[in-house]
Amino acid sequence: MSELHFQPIKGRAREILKAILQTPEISSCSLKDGLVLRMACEEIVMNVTSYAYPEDVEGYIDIEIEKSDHRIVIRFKDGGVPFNPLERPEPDIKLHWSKRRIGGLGIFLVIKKMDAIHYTYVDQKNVLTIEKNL
Amino acid sequence: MDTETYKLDEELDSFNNKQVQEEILAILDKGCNAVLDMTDCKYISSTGLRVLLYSKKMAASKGLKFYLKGVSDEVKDIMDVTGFNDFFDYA
Repeated sequence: MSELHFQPIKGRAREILKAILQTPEISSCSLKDGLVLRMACEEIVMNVTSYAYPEDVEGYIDIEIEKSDHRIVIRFKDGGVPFNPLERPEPDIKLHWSKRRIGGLGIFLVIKKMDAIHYTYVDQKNVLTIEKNL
Repeated sequence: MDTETYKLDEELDSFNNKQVQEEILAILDKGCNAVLDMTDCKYISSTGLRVLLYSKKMAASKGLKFYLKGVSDEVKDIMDVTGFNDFFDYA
């Protein structure tokens, strides 16, 4: 299992994402799985580093990654404002392009491309867990 | 009407989306149709999709066309999930 901790996190999304992708659990995945995991981690890390904490708070993010033969589990924890991303309304993907709004697809993509996703708020932490079959 | 192409590197994500968006808008601002050549691009995130849709809308608002070229299976997969595949003309 890999465990990563970053604090502060402001402006460090690229570095954090790179460290996640370099863990043995993710770097050993197939190219196809690796791309999907990269997308999911990018969406979540961008959300946390951009929006989880008020301006004047030196926030943190913890990431735990576990892998078995056929499944990878990645858990993201932050101490920011309680926020359940799974409660966001889904975009209507049947709309004509001229009616689609710009943005709002990040978490939707994660939900669609992962095999399981859970959110809890415990010990004053947002805990978002994503799982993917390999 | 002239058409100009901008060729992407390997990705369109949170870290290069602003620069790519500016390049496409610069083509449209000249009154040219724009082609985004994605032949080398294997990775797109939601911020990349945002660039594609915004470019399409900006082109349409100017009476111009925005085309995609060389979309990889990996990118197509992400576009499929979000209903984006029917949005674009392909060069």
